[in-house]
This record gives sequence, C-alpha cells and structure tokens, in this order.
Amino acid sequence: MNVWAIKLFAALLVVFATSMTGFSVARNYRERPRHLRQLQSALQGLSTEIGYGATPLPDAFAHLAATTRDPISTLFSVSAQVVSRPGATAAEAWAEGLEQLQTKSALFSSDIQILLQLGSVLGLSDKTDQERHLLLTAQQLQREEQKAEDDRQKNERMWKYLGVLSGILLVIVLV
Amino acid sequence: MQFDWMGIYALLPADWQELIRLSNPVVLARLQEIRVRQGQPVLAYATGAEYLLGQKGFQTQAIGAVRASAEHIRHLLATVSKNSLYALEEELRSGYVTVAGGHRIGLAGRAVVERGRVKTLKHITGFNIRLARQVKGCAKRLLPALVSSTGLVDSTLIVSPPQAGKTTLLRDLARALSTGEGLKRGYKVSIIDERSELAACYQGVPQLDVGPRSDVLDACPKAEGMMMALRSLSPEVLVTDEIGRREDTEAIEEAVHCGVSMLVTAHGQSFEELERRPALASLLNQGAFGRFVFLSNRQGPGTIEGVYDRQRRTSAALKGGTTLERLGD
Repeated sequence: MNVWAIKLFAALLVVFATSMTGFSVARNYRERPRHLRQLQSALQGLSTEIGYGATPLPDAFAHLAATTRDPISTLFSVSAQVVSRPGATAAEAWAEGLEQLQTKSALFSSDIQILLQLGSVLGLSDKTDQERHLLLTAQQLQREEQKAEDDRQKNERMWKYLGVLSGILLVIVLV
Repeated sequence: MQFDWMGIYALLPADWQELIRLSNPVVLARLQEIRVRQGQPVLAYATGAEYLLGQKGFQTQAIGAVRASAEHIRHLLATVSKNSLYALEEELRSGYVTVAGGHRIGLAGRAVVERGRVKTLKHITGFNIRLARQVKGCAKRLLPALVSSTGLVDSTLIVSPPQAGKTTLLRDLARALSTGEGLKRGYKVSIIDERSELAACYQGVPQLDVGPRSDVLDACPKAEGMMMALRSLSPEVLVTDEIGRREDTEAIEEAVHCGVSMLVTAHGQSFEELERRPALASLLNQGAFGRFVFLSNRQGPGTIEGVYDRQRRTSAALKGGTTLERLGD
C-alpha cells in the first residue's frame, strides 16, 4: 500500500514535470507574437516622440519605459539609463537594453538582430530619416510577427499535449 | 585660466581620451580649438601653435598621428547632439551646437537647402570644437579708463583684428561692470549674444561668468536684440559683439539717445579703416562713442595699441603697447 502511494506520487511528479516543460515551450510560442506586436507599437511611439515632439532621445526612452509593459519596458528603461551617462551613445545604450530584453522576453535572437541594426542610426539624423528607419524596423518586426503567429498555431497546442502525454508515456513505460 | 575641460572630454571617443591624457599639461591648459574631420588627423590649436593627436597626446610631430574614422565621427555626432540630432534643427541651420560648459562646436557637412535657405545639415563629417574660456580680471586695468568719476560708463568701441582677444575683453568688461568690481557700484548689463560666444549659454543659462546684474539675450540677432533689451530689460550698459551692419547702427543710435552706454566691438585696426565702413562711419561722425580701445596681437593677444576719447585724443589712462593682464598667457 505504502509502495503504491509512493509510486503514484512519483508518477504524478513525472507527469507534472513534463507537462510544465511542455507548457513553458508552448508559452514561448504564445508570447513571441505578443512581444513582437508590443515592440511595433513601442517603435511607433518612439517615432511619434521624435517626429512630432522632437523629444531628446533620453527623454523619449524614459517616456516609453513608462508607457510600455514588461518586458518591453525593460528595453527602454535600460536604454534611458545608459544613454543619460555623459559620453554614452545611443547605439551602446540600445544594445545594452536589447541584451536585457532578450533575457526577459520570448524573442528570438534574429528578432533582437533586427532591432540591433536600428541602434546604429538612432538619433543620428533628421526627423524624416528617423521616422523612416523606425517604420522600416517595425515592418520587419511585423513580418516576423506573422511567422511567429503561424508557428504558434502549429506548435502551441502540440507542445502542451506533448508535455502531458510524454509524461504519461514515461510513467507507463516505467511502471 | 580655467575652463570646463571635462565637458569636452566626455564627448570624445574613449581611445582619444586616453591619448589626450598623455599630452603636455601646459598645452592642454592653453588649448583653444580642436578640429576633427573624417579621415584626417585630429588637430588642436593653442596660442597660435598647431598640434596633432598622436601616441604622445597632442604633439607637434606627425609620426603616430591618429586619424578620425567614420566610427569616431559617429561617436562625436552622437555625444555632441546628445543622441538627438533631429531635435537640433535650429542649431544645424546656424551651423553650430553649444554644449554644457559653453563650448561651441561648429559643424561641417552637406547642407540641405529648401526654398533657397539652408534647412539643415546632413552627413556631418567635420567638427570644430572651440573651447569656451574666460580670462577673469583681464579688463581690470582698462576699466578705470572707461568709467568717469561721476560713475558714468562711456560708450566704448573696441577695435581689433581677429584673435586679438576682443571678445574675451568684452566679456570681462561686462562681468566687471555687472559685478561692480573696483567700482562704486554694479551696473545693469544687457548682453546681446548673437553667436553665443560672450556668455556661452547652454539651455539659456550662461556657462561663463558674466556677472550678477547681466541679462543675456542668447542667439538673438544684434539689432533686434538691442531694441528688445532697451524696451524690456532697462539696461545701463548694452553689450554686443562685432557690429558693422546698417541695422546695428540704428539700434546703437537709439540706445545712445536713451542714455544707455554701449560696449561694442568691431573688426579693424585704425580709424581710417573704420571710416571706410559706411555703417561705422556714420556712428563715428555722430560721436556715438566716448572711448575707443584699439587692440592688436603685437605682444600676444590683448595688446592695447591705444585708448582714445571722443575727439580721438590719446587717453592718459593707458599707454599704447600695454598688454592686458593674463590675456597673453
């Protein structure tokens, strides 16, 4: 009796572990399109700050950090912090912000790469040029978002089932 | 001589900062100008001598001189514009940016023209960093010659060729009058600083000491600024740099009629030269100025060639050939 109880407990533990793994992979599939979408609207916000407000970049970053949600706000809060240091360039600040963003978000490194390219031009040209670069980056992110959405539909549910089912399979095999 | 060298330091790329640290401190203390152009050596000027940035800091030899790369230029552009070039439209139109510390950075690039006027600069690849420096006390010996025993400040025209220290002298005169240094009282001073050189304002705040009773109209066209100051700032002394245009004359006449003393400068070396310029000639004929100070470079910047009164007689207060204190350092 006691042995069976332990076995049941262990089996539950195994199923729980594999399910969790499956769910977390599924969650990444679900989160990535959402993060990409939020980034697009954040870039649009940045474009407005630059184009209409001519807000200096450190202030614009700070505004966006306050108006976006985690984890996207991390990108802007870190960048705002770094860019305010004397002698810092926007490119350095943006790269540091992206580094932090990557650890906190479901974004692929290819997504981060797209954003990284933007850093080398941020703040270094007139309004129209800045707006163009921001629009371009947002469009690239939109394409990635569509792909990410397809991936999600294909994989999210599968990984959830896979997690649970592989746990059950494992239990059956082991018992 | 003290100036905010750190303000400039932070703007420069890290590898240049390290090299500059190796420079002879005497050269650094006298630095007036740093010139940066893409693909070219980094040049510096101090009291007339030229230096190149190399492995020994600012050096005279060309060996080991570093050249400004595209990356360096990008770095400078980012730091100078505070990463917000798009917010500097006005500054780009006028061709320079004033940074914290009051240093002025002239920009060279491709002009974007709209309806025949420069709209902005693009592809900026040249920087001319002029260090704001103040020589406090350099007007001390001149001041008694300009203030009468009744405490009235004579309208004064400072005449000098370029680089002879007229702006530095003018700034210190403004500061000394405003502070009342060595005088019975301080005067209300209005400074029309069209090129942001006199007070070196950064976001409206003078970065150089121009005294506690000075108002500064920063980046304001001279003639218009003089009228604005007369109308609204009730100055006793009106200070502006490099007059010579028609509209300046009218504004100065107006000021003199209002009983405001003028402290102005003009390019030139002699009365004859001034009289050849119509705008100045009419002012001279009307006797708008009670004092004339001629400067030259003969014994270094700030050599006084002569001080004259309204009738162009040599004033007894200062002999020609005197060098203004500390200006020649």
